[in-house]
Amino acid sequence: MKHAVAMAVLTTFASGPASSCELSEILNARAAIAESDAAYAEQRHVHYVTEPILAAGRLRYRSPDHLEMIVEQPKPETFIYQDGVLSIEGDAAASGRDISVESHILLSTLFSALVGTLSGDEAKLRGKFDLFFTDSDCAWQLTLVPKAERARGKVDGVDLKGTKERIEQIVLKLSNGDRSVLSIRENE
Amino acid sequence: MKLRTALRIALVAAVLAGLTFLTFRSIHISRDLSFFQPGALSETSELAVEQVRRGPASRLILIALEGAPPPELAELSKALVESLNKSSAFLRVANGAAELDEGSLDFVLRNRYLLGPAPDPQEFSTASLRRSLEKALADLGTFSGLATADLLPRDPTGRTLALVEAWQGAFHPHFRHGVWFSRDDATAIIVAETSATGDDEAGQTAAQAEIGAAFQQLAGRSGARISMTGPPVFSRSISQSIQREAYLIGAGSSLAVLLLLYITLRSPTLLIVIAFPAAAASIVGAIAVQLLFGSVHGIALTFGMTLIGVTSDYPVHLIAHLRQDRSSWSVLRSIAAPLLLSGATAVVAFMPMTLSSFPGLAQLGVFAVTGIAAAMAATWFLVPWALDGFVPRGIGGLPPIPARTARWIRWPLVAFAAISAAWLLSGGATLFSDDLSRLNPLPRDLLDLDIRLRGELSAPDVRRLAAVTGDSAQAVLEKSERLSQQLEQAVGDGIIGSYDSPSRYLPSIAAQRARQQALPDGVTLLMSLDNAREGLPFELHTFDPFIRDIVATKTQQPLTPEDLARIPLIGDRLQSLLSHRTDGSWLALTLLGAVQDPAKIADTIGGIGDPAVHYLDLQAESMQIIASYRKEALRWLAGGLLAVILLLMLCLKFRRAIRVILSLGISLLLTVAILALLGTALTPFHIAALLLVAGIGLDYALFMSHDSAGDHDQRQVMKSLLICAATTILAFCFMIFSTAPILQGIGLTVSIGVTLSLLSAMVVCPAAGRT
Repeated sequence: MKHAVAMAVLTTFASGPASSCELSEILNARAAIAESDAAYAEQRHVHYVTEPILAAGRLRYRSPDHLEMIVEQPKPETFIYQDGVLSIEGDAAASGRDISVESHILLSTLFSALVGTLSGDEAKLRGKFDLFFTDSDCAWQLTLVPKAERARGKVDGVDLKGTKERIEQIVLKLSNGDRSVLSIRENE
Repeated sequence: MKLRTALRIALVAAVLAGLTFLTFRSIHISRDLSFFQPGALSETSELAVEQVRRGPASRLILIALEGAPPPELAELSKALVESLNKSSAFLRVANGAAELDEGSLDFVLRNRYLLGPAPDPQEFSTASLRRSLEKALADLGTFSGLATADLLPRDPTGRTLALVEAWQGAFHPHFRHGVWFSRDDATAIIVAETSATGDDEAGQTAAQAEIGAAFQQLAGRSGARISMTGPPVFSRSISQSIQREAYLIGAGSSLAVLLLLYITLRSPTLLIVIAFPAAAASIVGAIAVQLLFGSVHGIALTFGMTLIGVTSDYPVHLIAHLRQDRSSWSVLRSIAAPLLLSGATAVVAFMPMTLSSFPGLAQLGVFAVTGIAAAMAATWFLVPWALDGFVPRGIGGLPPIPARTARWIRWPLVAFAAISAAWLLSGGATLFSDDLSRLNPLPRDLLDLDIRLRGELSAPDVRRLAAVTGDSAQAVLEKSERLSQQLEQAVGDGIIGSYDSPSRYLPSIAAQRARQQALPDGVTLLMSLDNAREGLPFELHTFDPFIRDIVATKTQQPLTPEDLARIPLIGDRLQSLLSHRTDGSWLALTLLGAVQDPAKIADTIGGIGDPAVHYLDLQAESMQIIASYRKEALRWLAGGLLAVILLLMLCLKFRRAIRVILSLGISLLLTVAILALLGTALTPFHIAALLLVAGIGLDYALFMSHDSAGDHDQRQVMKSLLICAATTILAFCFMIFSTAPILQGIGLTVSIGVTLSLLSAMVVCPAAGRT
């Protein structure tokens, strides 16, 4: 319910007076980027753990739909997302295979939100998510809410924050209240 | 030709054609390996045969997707698996992608301490729990920890994921984009287990067609290709390629034979008449087998048809003697003696075989005996009746080989035969081959694909396995558990690489009860957990769900095979390893992977000393069955041959009988020796071909040595034998070029054998009048 209210507020903003950075402009600008590389730091909040769990690594993107997430800390792990398919590699527990269908839904929802935004493919994004966009002086926030019921059972939404074509923060909000906040520093 | 003669021939031809059609429509043709089996098998052999025909390996299809970029292939693999898993034609279709849906995962989660391999007894100690919690915390920091975080409060020791891992991990294929791929990332691999058993030809054909159709629908224009291998694909490929080649060869050789007969006899009418005895033989043979055995085995039919090939020589003898001034009945009388003796010896030769305890051999015997008798009757009554009044255009004879030349050839021939006999008896050559898999006419690329895919999947060796029989599911599960302990030791000793047993999925009720006993009670677990949690950043009641699970598991009803039936990954696996047999007994299979020392593992399993626990080497077992078949066949044939010799001795003058026997012996010995020189070991198929050669050889020798005829008749005999030999060789030599070793073997044997039979009959058996 609280999400519905938040969305209503956001939608009101989005449909308000024309701002200086439209969603389509930002996505178009992203679409022009063929390759990018970024460092990220993650803070994860798990409801039954009293302290945030920290992690860090790199994100590598190649247009139009290849994204690698290379986790360096606390344990090396690589996620490769391409063409709608997610594979896990490296020496973590789940390496070489998928853990379960549930894990698929959660992780692939996150990855398709990321790749959709990185590639600037608005149609693809709208195919899988309901989009809610706000901005002020080109500091924007895009909230993606999965359309599929099964995905919504796991993920409340993905918030992306940024300035102009840069993405600066990704927040993954899970239905059980857990959150994961990724701060991103894109290399020039 | 008189109208009356033409009408008679047309009438007989129409009746025979109609009867042939009706017969082959109404008989039931069975197609399985039972042809080679003795009537009663040992229990171990019976289990092996059952596994080859109906076991899980007989139902396994490996699918390769290639020709598109890996992400596309992965998507295609997932879509294909999803589509095929909805079909009732498949027990399971897997590509490595997570196979457990939420409901099934929940089932595994709830029953995790009753299912799967035995848990570590130390799992609930404070120290061990502490290690589990520390590891879980570290995993939470990883990205995949995001996906498993929900599970942690219920299962902090990670047993659920470890179980799934263990069940999936019977083999370790390469993953790409979440599905099985070849290591070069070029081929997506899928494994499908059909619901139809391996010997269900229609079911297998339908299942393979369904895979093809689903792929076509999904692949669209992606350019992706599909190929399939595995035992069900092999058996279809074999029967299809043999059928295709047999059809082509049959058409080609029939045409060539007809052409040759037309050139030599110059009459289309005679071509029709020549077919009468063979047609009568196949009709009567097939009906007799159907009536006596309830069905006709496909191989008995093929072998039988080969054996009765000799009967098409009978009318040729008659026709070659036809003259304007001699009616067909009078010709029949003049060749009655050798003709009757030729037929009678062939019947006598196969008579003992009809008594065999091997149903396949008995069928073959009945087919040959009744068929040859029918052909003889047709030659005796139908052919002269149809040809009564028929005036041939004059068939010129051929001069026999001059006596001098015959002598020149005779002694070297006898010498060669003697040397061959000595060589063969000294064991200088491998005479017999009982490995029918060597006769697989599989295309090289199909075989290569199979080896490649099995290698990629590290699929368990389906050749060797252990089988446990018993009165109930629990009885066989308990014995499998005891067997597993021995196998665990064997894995440790490096005798085998791995094993897959039903108790890895579902332990016996006794074992489950023991596990329930060993689980800690709620208070003990709470105290251990509190101690283990100390200093770690977990909320106070985080692991309450874990304690509730353990307490519930302690008192729940143990699981039975029925409970698992609907759970993917374990239910279908259990179903293929644990089965309720048609006789009411239960069978548990344990597959043995990467067997390093077959003799030792056989000893290990045999050493358990339980008659209900069998070690099966499917290949060795089937070779043993074929060998027993071959030995039995040779025994009955030896009996038949003895009867033939006695008959010849009774009916012929001593010298002539000796010559006929000598001629037959020479041609058979030399044929076997030449085949051995060519590196061909005799399979049951070669032996069947040799039987035909023996029948033909006898026929030639009897006609050659028939001495009551005049000079004109001698020339006619010479000509008729040449026509018979030329047509037979022509009919069979096409088979030599077949890619199917079965057809090639038969073709080679008959071509060599008939050539030698003609030669030895001509030089060893010239009629007394001429020498």
